[in-house]
Amino acid sequence: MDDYLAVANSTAMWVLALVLVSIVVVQALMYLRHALAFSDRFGLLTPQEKARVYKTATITSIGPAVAVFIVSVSLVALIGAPMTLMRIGVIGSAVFELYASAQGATAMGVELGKEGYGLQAFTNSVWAMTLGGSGWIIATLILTKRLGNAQAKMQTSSPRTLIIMGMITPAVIFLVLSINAAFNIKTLGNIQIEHDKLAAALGAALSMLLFRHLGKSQPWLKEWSLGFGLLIGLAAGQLTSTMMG
Amino acid sequence: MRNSEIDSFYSQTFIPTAHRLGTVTLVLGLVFSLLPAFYLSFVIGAWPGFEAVLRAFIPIAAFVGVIWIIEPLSYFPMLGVAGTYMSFLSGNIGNMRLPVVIGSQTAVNAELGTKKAEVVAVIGIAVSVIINLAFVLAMVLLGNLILSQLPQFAVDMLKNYTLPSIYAAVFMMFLGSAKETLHIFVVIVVALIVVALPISEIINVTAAGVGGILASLLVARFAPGRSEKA
Repeated sequence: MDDYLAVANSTAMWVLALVLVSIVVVQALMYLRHALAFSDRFGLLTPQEKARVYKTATITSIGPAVAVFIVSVSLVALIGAPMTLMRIGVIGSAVFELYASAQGATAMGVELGKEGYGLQAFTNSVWAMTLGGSGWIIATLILTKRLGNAQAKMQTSSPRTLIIMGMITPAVIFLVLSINAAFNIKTLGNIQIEHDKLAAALGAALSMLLFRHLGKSQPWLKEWSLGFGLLIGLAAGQLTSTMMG
Repeated sequence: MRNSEIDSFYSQTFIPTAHRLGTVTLVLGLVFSLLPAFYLSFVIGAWPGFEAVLRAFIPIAAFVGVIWIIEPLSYFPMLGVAGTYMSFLSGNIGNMRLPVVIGSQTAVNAELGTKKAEVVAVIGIAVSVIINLAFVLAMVLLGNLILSQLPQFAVDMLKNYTLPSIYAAVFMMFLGSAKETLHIFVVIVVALIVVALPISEIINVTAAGVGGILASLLVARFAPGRSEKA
């Protein structure tokens, strides 16, 4: 293994990473201003509601952000801090980037971070991550305009379809994600239950029911419900795993 | 007519600006995300060769190529125009942006499909981008130091149980926004069919998106809504 990490953590790479991060931040701030201007012009949100959105979004982001932190801290040692910042912090996601960087290494006949993983292999990992990630950006660039037009048409012709789609599609996706996380389905006859993860999912799901009920009389709870739900899920998972030894 | 005023501002100013802003920032993001690869290859001189790049890229494209298209499509009804541009530039969509969107909308009783819900989504995503970045900066600068201060059980707990918990909790929030029992039933049936398919877990999430869209179209087409029955 040569000292590819010296290059990976060089000033030039940091500069490139920080430029990309600034693009993402500037974009977020510009959209924020754009949305607030729209809201203020027509009073879509009261000041209290705005405060509530800021608070809920902050609370809800912290749990997943900590998890991303923990999952990807190991990547810093493999691909350096600037690439981790670029690929995990913005643009990508931990699972995909790990897979893509490993593909880049495999294509060079070595393993990520292992013996023989040098500057060229690292560069190939960078190509794999960025080209692989570009697919989402290009698809979004091409599709969003069309989707926006289709949505505008449906808003007048069949608004109900949009509302149904907005609930059913993500609900199916998140139920499948939950099942994937809690069960290991090899074939229909060979299903392994990951008891601790199932407990985490059930703990979180049931606590959401409870918070939903309590939130009717305690509105402040609505801001905290996803944050609390996550904590209860974590505790349920840990407890089950401890009990099962 | 206040409502028609909002609608015309929305379709003539808000949305066109959102498209322009999104196109410019995504093209910039695309170009700047490719610069490290060019820098390493042609300034440092570590170009691994076309063949190696293709050998890495082709399996990736074969594996996630469908996801590139299905993800923006299936998340669009939730994210809206601005939210889609924001989410696909900033990443972490399933584990962070969507939970923030549904959580914030629920907190202020913003009904799906309304302008209010769309504005809330944009504000929520913007906040979550900033929060996430603060954590990631801390990670790349002080990650190992912070990690070594955390007890091992806490690290394991966060690593193993965050995703099942957040996915299940967000699922419940979406169910909570269901207008009719039939829709809940449809969601569960479609999800069970999808997980029973003999395909890998990464692909079945895509199948869930496709299945959800198709099922929604069928439900909207063939199951009369409560209001229409009356």
